[in-house]
Amino acid sequence: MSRKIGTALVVGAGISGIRSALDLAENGYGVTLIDRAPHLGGLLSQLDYQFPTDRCGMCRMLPLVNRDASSQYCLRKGLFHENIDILLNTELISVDGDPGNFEARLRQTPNWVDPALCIGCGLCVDVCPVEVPDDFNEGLTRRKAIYLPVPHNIPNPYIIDFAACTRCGECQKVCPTRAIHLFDQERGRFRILVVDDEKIVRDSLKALMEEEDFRVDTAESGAQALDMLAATPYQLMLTDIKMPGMDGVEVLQKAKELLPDLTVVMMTAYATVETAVEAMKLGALDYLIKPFEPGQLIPMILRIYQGLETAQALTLNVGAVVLSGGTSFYDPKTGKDTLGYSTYPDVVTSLEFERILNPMGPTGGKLVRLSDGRPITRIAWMQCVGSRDLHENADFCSSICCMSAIKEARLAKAKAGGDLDATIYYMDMRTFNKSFQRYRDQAQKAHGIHFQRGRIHTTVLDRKTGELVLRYTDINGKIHEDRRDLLVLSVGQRPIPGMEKLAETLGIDLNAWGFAATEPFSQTRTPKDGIFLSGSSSGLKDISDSVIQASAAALNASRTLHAAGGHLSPKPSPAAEPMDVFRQLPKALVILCTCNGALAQKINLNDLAAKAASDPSVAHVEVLERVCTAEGWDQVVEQVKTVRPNRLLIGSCLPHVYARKLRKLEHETGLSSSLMEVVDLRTPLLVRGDALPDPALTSTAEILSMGLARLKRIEPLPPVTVPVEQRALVVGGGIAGMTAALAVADHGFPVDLIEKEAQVGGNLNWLSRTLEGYETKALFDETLSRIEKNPLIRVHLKSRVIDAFGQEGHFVTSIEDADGKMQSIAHGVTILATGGNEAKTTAYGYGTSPAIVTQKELAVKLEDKTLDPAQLKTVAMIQCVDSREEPRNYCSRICCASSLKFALELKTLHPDIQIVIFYRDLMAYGFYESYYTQARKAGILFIQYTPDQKPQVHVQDTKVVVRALEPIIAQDIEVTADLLVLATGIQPALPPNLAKAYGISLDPDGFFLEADSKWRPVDALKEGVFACGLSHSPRSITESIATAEAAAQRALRILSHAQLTAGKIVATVRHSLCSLCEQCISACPYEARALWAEQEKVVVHPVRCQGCGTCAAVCPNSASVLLGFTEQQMFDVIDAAIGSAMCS
Amino acid sequence: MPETALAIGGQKESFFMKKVMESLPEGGNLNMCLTCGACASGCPATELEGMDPRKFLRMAALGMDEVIEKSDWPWMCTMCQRCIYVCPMKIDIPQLVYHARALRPREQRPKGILGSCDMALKNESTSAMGASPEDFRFVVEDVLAEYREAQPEFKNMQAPIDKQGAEFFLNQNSREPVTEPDELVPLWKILHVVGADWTYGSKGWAGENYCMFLADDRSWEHVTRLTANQADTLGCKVFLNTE
Amino acid sequence: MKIKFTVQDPCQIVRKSFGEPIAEDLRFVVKSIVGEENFIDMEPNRSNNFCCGGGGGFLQSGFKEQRLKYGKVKDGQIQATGAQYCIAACHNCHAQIHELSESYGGHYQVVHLWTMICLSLGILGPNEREYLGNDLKEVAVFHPETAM
Repeated sequence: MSRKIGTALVVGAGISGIRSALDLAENGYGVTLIDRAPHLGGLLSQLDYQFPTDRCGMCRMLPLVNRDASSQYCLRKGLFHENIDILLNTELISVDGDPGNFEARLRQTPNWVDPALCIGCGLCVDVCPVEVPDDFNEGLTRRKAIYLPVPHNIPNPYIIDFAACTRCGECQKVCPTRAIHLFDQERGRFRILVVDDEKIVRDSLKALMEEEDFRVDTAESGAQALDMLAATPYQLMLTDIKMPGMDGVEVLQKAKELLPDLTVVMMTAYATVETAVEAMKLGALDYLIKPFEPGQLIPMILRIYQGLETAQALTLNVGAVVLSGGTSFYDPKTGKDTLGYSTYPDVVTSLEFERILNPMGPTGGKLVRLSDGRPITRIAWMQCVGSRDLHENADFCSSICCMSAIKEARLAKAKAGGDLDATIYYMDMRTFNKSFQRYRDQAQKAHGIHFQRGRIHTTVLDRKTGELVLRYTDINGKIHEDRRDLLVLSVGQRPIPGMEKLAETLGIDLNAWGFAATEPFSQTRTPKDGIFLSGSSSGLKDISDSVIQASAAALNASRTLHAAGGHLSPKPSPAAEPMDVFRQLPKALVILCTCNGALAQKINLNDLAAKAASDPSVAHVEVLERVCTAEGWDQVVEQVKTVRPNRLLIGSCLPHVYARKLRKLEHETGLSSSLMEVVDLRTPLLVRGDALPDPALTSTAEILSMGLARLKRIEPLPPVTVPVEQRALVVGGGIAGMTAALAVADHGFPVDLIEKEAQVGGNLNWLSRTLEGYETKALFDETLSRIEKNPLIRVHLKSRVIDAFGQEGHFVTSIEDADGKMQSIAHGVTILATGGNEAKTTAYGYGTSPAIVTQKELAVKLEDKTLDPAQLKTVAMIQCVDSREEPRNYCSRICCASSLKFALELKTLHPDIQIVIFYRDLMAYGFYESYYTQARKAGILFIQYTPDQKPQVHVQDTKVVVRALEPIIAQDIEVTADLLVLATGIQPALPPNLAKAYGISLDPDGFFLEADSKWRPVDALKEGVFACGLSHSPRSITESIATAEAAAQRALRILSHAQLTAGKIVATVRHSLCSLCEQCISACPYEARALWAEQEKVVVHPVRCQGCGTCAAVCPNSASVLLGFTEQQMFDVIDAAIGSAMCS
Repeated sequence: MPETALAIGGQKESFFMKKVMESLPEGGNLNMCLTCGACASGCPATELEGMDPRKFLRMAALGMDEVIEKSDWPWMCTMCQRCIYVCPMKIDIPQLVYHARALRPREQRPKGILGSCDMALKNESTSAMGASPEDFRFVVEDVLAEYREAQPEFKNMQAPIDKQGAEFFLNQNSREPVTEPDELVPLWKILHVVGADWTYGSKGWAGENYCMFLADDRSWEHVTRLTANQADTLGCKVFLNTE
Repeated sequence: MKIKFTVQDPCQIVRKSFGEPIAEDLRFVVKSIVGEENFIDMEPNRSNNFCCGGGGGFLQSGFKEQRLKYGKVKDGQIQATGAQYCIAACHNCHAQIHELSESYGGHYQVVHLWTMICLSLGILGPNEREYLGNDLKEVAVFHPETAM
């Protein structure tokens, strides 16, 4: 166990929350991970496939070193980690205190179904009489009031929707494990006071709520209400706002003085909604707009009741808080909805479409129309619905919708077997990550997806054919009618409900659109030290950016924890002496669980026990009541301590739940958890209530004997450990390298920072400002002074890496300085931050006139004043120079923002300057959009061109003439400019020999190749090597810093351990059988195998090996062996399965 | 290179769109166009004269004032606002169109509209069909008398002109009194049945305002003031515009 | 009588002035007059309705050919409803749609809202039926003896 003094709270268990939590846990901290939903995974639980791989891969976030600390199966299904406590149905209420020592108040809403007892049999669903729309399928299907929040969780207890449940009790009657307790409520004790001057309102509210068994009193005036409150302790008050005498707001204030804990809901007419909102600031919980329907009122009352009466308040002491609350989405129903979302069933949101693609979705995964079930052959996507729209106060881009629409189109194409017309209507196709442009091109060229620039005004249904008729104008002003079976609206993002309140309680800022705001140059820091942002709460991000930001948030949280006194290195608590069972005959303890009696109803457990006991390797069989409970488990521990077995077999249910308990058992008893096995006896018996006939006994016995067969032959070996050189090496001293070095050093580990130039700083040496107006010099100075002050950082200037070898935990790097002096450095991790440069060009007459400059040259000229903006009358800019087409077919992400920055700066200095920007797709993603808006507002002209009709440039004396087709007026325009600025993009500076020295790969454009661009975005496939900054991918300064923090965090997972422990299940080589064919080496997906040439042996790197068994499968001679899954074991298991091994 | 290109560059003096922007709140957002074409997709006037709202705005933004001035398209746009209804940038294209109408000398504007405006300026009726206050009064009284007699259930029906202190001031499109007086009656009947206290005005009774369509601001104001003043003079509380 | 009615939302009072609430009011009135089952909406409608082309002075601007082309969408919308009557609450709409009906061969009637209100109240006389079709010309005539 490596529980630390420092613990962190991660709020929100979507992928970014999971990433932050795992990172902190791997650093050795205790983490509490909470989510208000009843399941993990956030939004991703509803999405099956992600771009650009068009598949999932979430499991790649799981730990690769010390992997036995964590569950090792599909992460969408669940997560266990020994350092992480997961609390679902739990909300953060407040955080008080200081960094390193916060007190967080949480509220957990328990359910009427006991998750420890629910076995997921589903009998309750069959008898539940209530049906409501299913959120998991975005309301496109219906579910019962008792339901599974997601279909695929492990374990997956049912839950009850309080608002929908009628408390009829049918489910409770049929539950075989008695997991449901509906009537633990005494609503009569919950007293409600209704204050309204209108009798009819009072009476109807009273009647409605009394029907739900609440105790309700009424008052006709504020004065009467206050008298009643003074006499009786009410829990909830509903008060009208407009009343003669004392108005509702005054009643609220006075009532709160009398009863500070009283919950108050304001009732208001439309006219006084603003007053109600004001009242919420004075302590009212919520408001209801009159006239309201019972359907509105009762769920609200139930929610309040549930929150107040049954929710448990929890208080946690934590050192740091990571907010990863995610995002919600625009609901087209709330707007003008000219696209027909609320009118036509075949107009769906992107999220709904993801559900339609899913086999668990409304159409069983078939592409058929929701309206009439006819096959879908034509789908259109409409981008920017609820984004980039001033009507909806959304002057921002939601960043991911372009890519997800392409992905959805590709998935739909694949599903339809190609027989599908897919068209995406868009304004700018924002493919702004390094691999995205190629993904788009491929969608267009290889998959035949159509991209149509423009917005549809309105959708109309052709009632004869059921087709949706979309009317759009092409670039030439011609009207077209496009007939579709399905229209998918790529809906933009909105802040999560309650964000405003949360921000206010926590003291963090929100931006103009209600998303969490970050500090300059940081994606994670808030004004409140110790509280960090992760994932989409600060603006929608794709998975890769979310994961990067999540690791960066973990890094900053870890830094807070570390500064507060917790040290990273784990301090192992005393463990029982490991039991040496090598070469001992198997002596198994078998525990059978009755599952609270449920199992005993189905089979004769005594017969089963007797059968098991007849096996000579079984020393003892014990039947226990409920192994899953704490008491039950104590009995198991007791049995192990008494019997002292060298094998433990437990027959119960839900084997995955036991991983953590078995680890603890090992800790307490010394018996290796690899000698323990849990088999699921119950699930096969309790499938949807159909009791299996006689063969049940046989099958249960077989399951048990299969487990026993596997245990018998296990060779217990002590786990392999590898020592860690607790020092980091960072190559490259730009802002990313400096940030990474500081992040590592701040945790107490020494760092060598290698810089080839005479000074650090990289591109910060010439940059001066960001688009947001932040001064980069201040950032540089501050970072540099922290580097200089930190004794743990050694900066090697004018130095370069000559050679390197090694792996995670131990690398040796040789560096050479300017004088040719060599030195070797041993280090445990490597961070590559070699940066990137503005690309060179010969396009558009560059080099033929001083009036044609690159963006960098312009920045330098403006800074050193060799260019006087006052002399400029007209400036032209061309975007995507040599970019987004082969051979440099990627978007450099920052050039559009840079052009906006320069254009706005020039316009601010001299409003009369005419600026014309020639662009292809303006990549003003996220909140950059507002600067694009500002630029147009300032009168800057944007002219779109296509790669097949690029602008023509010729030099005319001191001027530059740019001529291009203006597509809308279908005429050439000619700009006679004093200055032409070329956006040439970024090229990486990651030398191939350096990559080779560290055993990593580069992508086709020379950028760092990630282990997985989505799920392990800063890791190399080779563990122990990480990359950040521009050598990783084109990014803004702030984004580069986030990659650096993420890379440092990934490195710290390794550095924070004195030694790395291999998993219990690893591969080995029987050298006597090995023919050195090397098939295993190429088959290993983790690069854990190598040929040791001198010894003529294939060797396995045990820490890197993930125990997948691919090597064993490809080995022709059975020389590759996966410990724990040897061939003999497997044959025994198969024998047991077919019934011949038991008792033989 | 093909035909001559449109020249952009140098410090362009004040051009049409810029001037229009100065007269509108937030400049009508006129230079915020994302060229998405939502306006054109929903505009019934798209393709007329090879023009559409996006193109029109684009031409204005590029300073193509002469083309705009020459184009008849602004007279084919009804300023129905279906464009701004969905425009993600809330661009007030209808205002741009309105101002474009005013680019032409008054006498070169469409004859029908010009004539109707001039008619309205002729007398205090503000009628585009030139009917005088006297003509109007005659028709109203004549029709009323006829119907009171023919349909006894409506013998008390009123169609007052200049009734002091009436609650509603009603105006009337000239088409009914001038060409189809029987069509005046259903509305009177409805007002009678519901017991409304209403009146026409002898001045400014005509509901149509072609001076507005003509983009003749001064005349438009004249016509509007005349009728509004009459409603004020009579002390009416509600102006019911039947147009 | 199985006569279907649709209604034209005037741009001026709906989209440009009072929005959805007045469009709802208009439907309430129309449905009350003709019966819910006889009413059919054009698509799109209410604030997102297509302009007929009668506004903005177009009727007087002399560009008849273009005006009819402009109105083709509106005509298509009305014809798609299959309604025999289009109720117009605006003078310009009335005139333009009337012309559309004739030019494009839809032969639906265009009728003022006031006519329909009076018809439903049984107070529409024989001379106030200029815009009713033959199917309604003789229905519930108020003082038929006064026909001229």
